[in-house]
Amino acid sequence: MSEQSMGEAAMSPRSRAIAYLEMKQSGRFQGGREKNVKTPLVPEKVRRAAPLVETVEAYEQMIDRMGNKGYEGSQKMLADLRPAAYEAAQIAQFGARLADIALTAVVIPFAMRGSLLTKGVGMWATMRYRPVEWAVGKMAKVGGAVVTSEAVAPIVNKILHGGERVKPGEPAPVAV
Amino acid sequence: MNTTNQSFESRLTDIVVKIEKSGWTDEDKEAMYAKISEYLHESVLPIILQHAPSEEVKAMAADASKATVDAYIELMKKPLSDPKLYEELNTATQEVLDDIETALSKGGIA
Repeated sequence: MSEQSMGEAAMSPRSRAIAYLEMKQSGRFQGGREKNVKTPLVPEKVRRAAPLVETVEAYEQMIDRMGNKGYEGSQKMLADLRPAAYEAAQIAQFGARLADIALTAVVIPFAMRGSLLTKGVGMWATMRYRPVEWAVGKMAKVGGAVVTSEAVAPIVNKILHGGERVKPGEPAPVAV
Repeated sequence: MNTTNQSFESRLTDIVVKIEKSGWTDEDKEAMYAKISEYLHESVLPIILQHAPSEEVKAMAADASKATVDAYIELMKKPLSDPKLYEELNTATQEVLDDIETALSKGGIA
């Protein structure tokens, strides 16, 4: 047994699976055509390169807490950041929502993508002052909920539209 | 890549069904779902940027004062209007699903 396989054997099934994804994720962003994408336009977790701004971590923590503070709370947290960080934070937030749109477009049939683009991009541009929950609901509505009677549909939807709050068996987000 | 004939949505649904039917705890499932979501979301932004006008991307990256939300929106509208983007996104996300299926097999979920 190799050292690596012995190490894997000592891990829990969940740890083995997630460790593998971490490795693949890291490799994907360190090589290939994406390796040159090192700009302030992609959130730090995506770039996996030199730090963008000192406040990226603060921004991510803020995003994590926004769901608990509602619209006014989240805006106050944004305003508390330094002005430069405020703009960077909003761009990162927009980037995350842009990823929602892109993943939605991958899911829907090719023939429908044109109309999704028109609606989705237009809507995305108006999301600046909206809370995360509103944006998630809107994007779920534009993309259409995953059409399946499977009990797992709410989880699939959350993976695509609200990943960090995905929980087993949680109800689907309410479209606005 | 193993099952490109199957849609992204169908494959993702199958993956969630496998996880739900596994003997993993809810906590373990939640961690896996969060990782899957993170990985999928992270896989698309670099590709979108590849389709943005490179000079504009470089200019914005070089000068943080130019990286405003409005400028970012304008920059991203262009790649989102490119049909080729979605072909590449589809390929990339299918590759991510391949990785996820391999990860599940390493976690004892066949």
